[in-house]
Amino acid sequence: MIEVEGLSKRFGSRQAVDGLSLCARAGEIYGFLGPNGAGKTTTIRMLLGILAPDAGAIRICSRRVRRSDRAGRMLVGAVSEVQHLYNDMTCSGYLRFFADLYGVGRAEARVAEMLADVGLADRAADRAVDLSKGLQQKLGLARALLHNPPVLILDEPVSGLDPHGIREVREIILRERSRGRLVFLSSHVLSEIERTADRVGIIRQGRLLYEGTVGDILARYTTLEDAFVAMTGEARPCVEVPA
Amino acid sequence: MSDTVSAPPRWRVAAVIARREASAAIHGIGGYVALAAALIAGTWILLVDVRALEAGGLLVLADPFGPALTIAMLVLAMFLAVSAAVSTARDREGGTLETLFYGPVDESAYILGKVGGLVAAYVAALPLILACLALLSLMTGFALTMRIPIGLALSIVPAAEIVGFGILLSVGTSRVRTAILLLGAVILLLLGIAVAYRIVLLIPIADPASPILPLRDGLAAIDMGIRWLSPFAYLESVVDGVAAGAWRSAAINLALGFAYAAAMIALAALWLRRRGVERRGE
Repeated sequence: MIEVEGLSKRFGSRQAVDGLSLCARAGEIYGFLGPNGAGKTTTIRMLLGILAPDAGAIRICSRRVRRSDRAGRMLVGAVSEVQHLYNDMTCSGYLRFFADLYGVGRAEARVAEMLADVGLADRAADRAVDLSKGLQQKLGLARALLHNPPVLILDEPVSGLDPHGIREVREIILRERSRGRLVFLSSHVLSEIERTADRVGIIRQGRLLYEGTVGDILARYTTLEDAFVAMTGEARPCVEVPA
Repeated sequence: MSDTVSAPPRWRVAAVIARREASAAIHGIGGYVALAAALIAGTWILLVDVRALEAGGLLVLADPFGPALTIAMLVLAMFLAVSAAVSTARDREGGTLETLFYGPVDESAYILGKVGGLVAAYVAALPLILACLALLSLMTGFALTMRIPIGLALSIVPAAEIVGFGILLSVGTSRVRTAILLLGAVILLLLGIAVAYRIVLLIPIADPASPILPLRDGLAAIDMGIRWLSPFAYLESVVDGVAAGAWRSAAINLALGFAYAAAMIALAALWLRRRGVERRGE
């Protein structure tokens, strides 16, 4: 469903993504992991067609992703770490605006359906910017799902959320997988990835270090975090707690 | 997943962005402040003419509302240019630009939508200006000819070109403040050269070897160039031409303004494509 072959991107002297290849399939949650600066967000921007790769190819649902390919973007719903909202829009107004942009039929009904789907039906008339971060993430998920895309790409969707928010977003992610969607999930919250992902791809310095099932990793390491630290060499000294 | 929505046509995406842009402009206070300023400036110019008529008993003007209309349109055009620059830079600074591009929005649809929305807001202001001029006509006894509503209607093309100019300047900036400063600097430069040229023209020159002469010639050449490059010059030429009944000149400037608007929109879309839609520092 997402096939990436030999993807590369350079910014000046920095090689952000270096010959990356990976494959994520329909109906699975694919955890996309890597330390800060590993090239995750750059890769995601290339998957979304808003950044052109220097080399390599991306196919989503067998369609070659090209920059500014409007039809290709209809195959994907995307949510970033922070929801960039309009100050003057209510939750329903925000979704209505994007429903109109996507050309969603019976937009009013679809907006109400999506608000109910993410548990925001009672906040429809509230200003979107006044919502808590967790609720804004849910609103972002509703926006990303409005046009019923087969692929959902989430970049750090639970970053900065409290445990309630994390649980609510997790439930939406698991539900979307059960509906047959591919959820491509980038996150630093490894416990969440361990709990939800079917397969993971771990990158460092723009290169793929590992791709496989979470089960395979847990057969070799105690936790996904242990595997991540061992593979990426990102071990840091523990802080000693005074007695 | 079989009922995935297919991409809507580009014009429809642009129309949705335009509706949002027009709504934001109409619901914001800035447009009303600019409209009030435009009407005050126009009324002031008209009052100057009324006083001149009272003092001299004679005033020769192609249309008494011509200068007032030109000033009012220029004030409104300044607001349009600033709104266009702010709106685009705010989308990038706030991150909403990238979110829009997650969907079926491309550079052309985005720029066309922005221009369309602000021009629609401008069109909404035109009946108010016409009503105010009609009121002034009743108060002053000056006849409001058909040239004025025609001039108002034709000013839509240069207005689109001014919006395109504002967007083009702001596409390359990352922050609202930078966009405003850049636009302000360009407007000041254009105005400064025009004012300097007119001041130099007022200086009497008796000596043919005066150093003022080459300065005047240089400024004249620059002023002529600005008349081709400045989007505000086309607005002035169209409105002035219509008010004076110089239809051929107005038609030529209208055609040039149309070409200018198309060039601004195309350049803004190309530059946005080259620059990307990401927020600064991400």
